[in-house]
Amino acid sequence: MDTVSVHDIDYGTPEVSSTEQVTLTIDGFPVTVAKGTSIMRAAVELGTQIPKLCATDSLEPFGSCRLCLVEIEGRRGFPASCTTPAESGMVVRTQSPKLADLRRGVMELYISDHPLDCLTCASNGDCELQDMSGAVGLREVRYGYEGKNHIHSDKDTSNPYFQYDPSKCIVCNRCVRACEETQGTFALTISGRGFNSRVSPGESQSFMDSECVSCGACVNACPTATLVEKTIVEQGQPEHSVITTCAYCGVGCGFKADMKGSEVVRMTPWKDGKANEGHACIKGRFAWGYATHKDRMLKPMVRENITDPWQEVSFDEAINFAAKKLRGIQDKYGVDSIGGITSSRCTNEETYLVQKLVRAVFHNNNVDTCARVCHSPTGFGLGQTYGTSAGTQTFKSIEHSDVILVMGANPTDAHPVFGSRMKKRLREGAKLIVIDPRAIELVSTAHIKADYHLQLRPGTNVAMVSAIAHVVVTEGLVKEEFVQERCDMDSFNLWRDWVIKPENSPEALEITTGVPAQLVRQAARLYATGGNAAIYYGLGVTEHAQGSTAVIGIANLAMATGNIGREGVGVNPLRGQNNVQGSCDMGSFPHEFPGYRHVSDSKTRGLFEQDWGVSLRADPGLRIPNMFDAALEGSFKGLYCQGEDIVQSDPDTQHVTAALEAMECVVVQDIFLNETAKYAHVFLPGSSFLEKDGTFTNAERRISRVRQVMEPKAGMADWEVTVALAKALGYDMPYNHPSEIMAEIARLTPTFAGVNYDKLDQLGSLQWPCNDEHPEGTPLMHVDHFVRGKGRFIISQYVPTEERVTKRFPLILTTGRILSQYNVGAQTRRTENVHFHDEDRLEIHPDDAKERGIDSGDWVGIASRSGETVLRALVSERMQPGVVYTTFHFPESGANVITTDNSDWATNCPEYKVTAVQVLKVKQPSEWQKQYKEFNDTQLRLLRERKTAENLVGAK
Amino acid sequence: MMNPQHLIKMANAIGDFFSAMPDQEQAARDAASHLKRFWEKRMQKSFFDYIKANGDGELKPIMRRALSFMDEELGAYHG
Ligand code: SF4
Ligand code: SF4
Ligand code: SF4
Ligand code: FES
Repeated sequence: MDTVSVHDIDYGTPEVSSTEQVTLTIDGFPVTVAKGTSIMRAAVELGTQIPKLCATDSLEPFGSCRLCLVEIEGRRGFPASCTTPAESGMVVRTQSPKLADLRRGVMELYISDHPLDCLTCASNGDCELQDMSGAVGLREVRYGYEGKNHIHSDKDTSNPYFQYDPSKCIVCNRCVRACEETQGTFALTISGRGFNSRVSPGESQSFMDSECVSCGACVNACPTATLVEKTIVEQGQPEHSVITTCAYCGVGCGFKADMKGSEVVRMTPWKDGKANEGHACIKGRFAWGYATHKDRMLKPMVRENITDPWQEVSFDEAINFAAKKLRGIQDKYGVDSIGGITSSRCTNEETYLVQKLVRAVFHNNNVDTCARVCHSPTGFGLGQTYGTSAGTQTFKSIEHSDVILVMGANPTDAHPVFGSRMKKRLREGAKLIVIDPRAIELVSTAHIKADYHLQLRPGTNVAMVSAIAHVVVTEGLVKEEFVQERCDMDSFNLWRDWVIKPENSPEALEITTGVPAQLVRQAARLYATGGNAAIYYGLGVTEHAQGSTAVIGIANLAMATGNIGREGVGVNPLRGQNNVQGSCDMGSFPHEFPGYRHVSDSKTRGLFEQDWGVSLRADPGLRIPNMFDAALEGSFKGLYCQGEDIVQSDPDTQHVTAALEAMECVVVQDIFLNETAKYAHVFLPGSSFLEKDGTFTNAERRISRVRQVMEPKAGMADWEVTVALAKALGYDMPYNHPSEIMAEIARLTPTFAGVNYDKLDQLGSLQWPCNDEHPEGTPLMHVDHFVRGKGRFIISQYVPTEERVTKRFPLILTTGRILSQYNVGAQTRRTENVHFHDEDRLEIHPDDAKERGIDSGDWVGIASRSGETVLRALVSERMQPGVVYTTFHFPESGANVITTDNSDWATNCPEYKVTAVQVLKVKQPSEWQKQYKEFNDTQLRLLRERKTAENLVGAK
Repeated sequence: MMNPQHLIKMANAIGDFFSAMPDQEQAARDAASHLKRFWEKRMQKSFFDYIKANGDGELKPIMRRALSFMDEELGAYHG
């Protein structure tokens, strides 16, 4: 196992990036550092620790504790080393009798107001106050402990994950600064003065009642046991750590899993993780308890019919049962009658194996992944225009942005750690344009206000992008030089002639988008002329009937304004799940081999045929929605589904469940008996990210290691299960370790040619393309030329969706997510995160609510042409009149019972974001919810009644 | 047969995208190629069977033109 030390070096102040160097002498030794570096940090680089309490290297220095005093030759007094920059020729002394005296005096004051229960304190062994008492040689406290103190102050245990014990607070302000600088929430203040001062969330509220979003940055920054994780209080200090990657969102934060034996006691954001640089959000930091939840399924199970009770069997039996069924189906209904679904929650290696299984062993291309329902338009749109299906920047690049355009994304909820980075840049003065039907948090939050919020009607993104482009071209804001040098001029000329048409002007499109033309013009000018401009977009762009068109439009816009190919600019899809990028890269789409190469490309196919030793198909397979249609038609009968919950996450639930019911063998591999597994014939227990080795690729193309910290609970790793299934079907996949799978990926995929586990261990992470030309990866794409050569402009005509409001369905429903829950919620619902969001609600504008006599908390029925469900209402100004909104984290909410079968023209990505609905006050659950409850109760009974005996129901 | 209404709707949506292109001949060719590159063969077959039986009246003009560029002989795939 690759273990590392629990404790990292704290340099005291942040790293400074400057090309200028200065050399100074500290305690007689010369040291050279970047100009602007603090004396404290220079000393640590030399290997010398200067005592400190209020400084830590994730925060700007504050200079309040006076413990870090030093002597500088030629200067009077005792400057604080954390706030004093190193200068050339300086001669610094960090220890002297006078300094020792001063420091002891400071410590004495702190300790006299501190409970001396070190031996039983949760932070014993991990407390900087303790360390500093030792470092300064504190031997007595002259003030005694009898004076005024805070020993009897009450603890705040309201947050489910950490506690606040004011008696231990030394008022160093680190937590307050962490909440401001690192997280950007501004939830904490120091209230009271002098001796009475203490940290306080909001206006003396509890943590839970305050603005706090439970990111844990303050807990990380606290030098004492004042703010401490409850797991540490309960389980004690960790003894080793393993570096791994968060398995929730597409930010892909690096973590240290802090371990006690094989038990995780804390997840600490990894300082050297390049995606997060030591920050985290509530999900990755705290919501990992699901991994050991009692609902984890640990035994393989099979059954003939989904109305039968389950039968527990061995892995061998389950796999043979599945293999026999799948082959039987192919014999009876043809080779194309089965397929597989890979997951963005699985590793690159696992995903690669599933598509290999489908292509090489099932002998068809019926493989797809959940990116179908989220970012497939990104792959298509960016592939067509730029030549590669990925975002163009690193997250860090935003530090150089002057204008940030956020479209159809909600980073503070869905990509929180990146959201914090963005907020930091915005506080530094970058301008912000938000294009969203909803007033997302960024529109107005602590110290941030969007310069423009273009609150368009759902479904009119393409019209909006056209209007912006129209302004750019007609007002002469095109970066002609860039376009001439870097882009295909024929395509540009065609595009320009199209975009300048009067029907694309903001004035003409005002009636469509609902946004005043003047506002669009101003925002367009800002984007085109405000300096480095970067676009960040999310599922609010892709999950539309014109998702691909919108991505193409965005790509056009960035090219026309020259915002591609350097720091601070670019086109950046914010990916939903952790490995969306990776699962697409790994050839999960039915028409593409790994590395986005069409299956009809005979050269690529030949490469795989040779390596895999089988002949491969040149015709594209079924996409997920096509699989459902084919199942209902009777030609698709068997499915191997790894780590996905299509029943809950895919649109038009009743269509999906009818399709699954029409199949003869559904094999589900997952850690829980998810909604899809309730329709399965074979259940294969999967493992959580803590139990696996592999890699994830985040939204910035960064490949990071996932490291096993505990054995797979069910006994087999996910990749081993796929290998066993292949073997049972007569095909050998002889790997000993996931690193060998990566070696095969690298061998067959030019953009991954330089990737291997050794290099990942050495460098921490790698951004693809990683090859001979870029052996350490490629942070910025399209620097000198586009991947496809010249950038290609493509006309992106707005076509209204067929989903329109009518008398019967007068409102538009759009869907989204919130911070504390993740996707279908299978993981987060099984953690304390439910305290932050325990049900999906329907957000509705006060006018629409009033018209219908609806108050917050009322039960309301939401009906579309697909179905009906019932949720509780939340009357909210965030919505615009005519638009309602909900999340889809709980299965019984049935948000997808309402969404329709409309989809993106190019990729079939479903149109989740636009559904015409009616909302009415009701008294009881919907028909669907009643049926769901009945079905769910039956399935849970069939699970409870599962047979554990030997007599396997024979696979006929 | 796969739900023909669904297939017609999908084909017309492809047509909508390409009908904005100035060179309509090329646009019809591109629409045809898109369909061939992304539709699985039973979808293509159901689509053609339906058109053969019911005519191309439900298709938008560009998709009607695109039909002539589609190779009806399924499996003979050129991408
Ligand atoms: S947990 Fe995060 S949001 Fe809450 S107070 Fe601490 S730093 Fe602020
Ligand atoms: S809670 Fe911790 S970090 Fe915050 S002021 Fe008190 S001791 Fe410092
Ligand atoms: S931001 Fe995303 S990757 Fe980072 S900790 Fe939160 S959920 Fe995990
Ligand atoms: S560490 Fe420098 S003043 Fe506190």
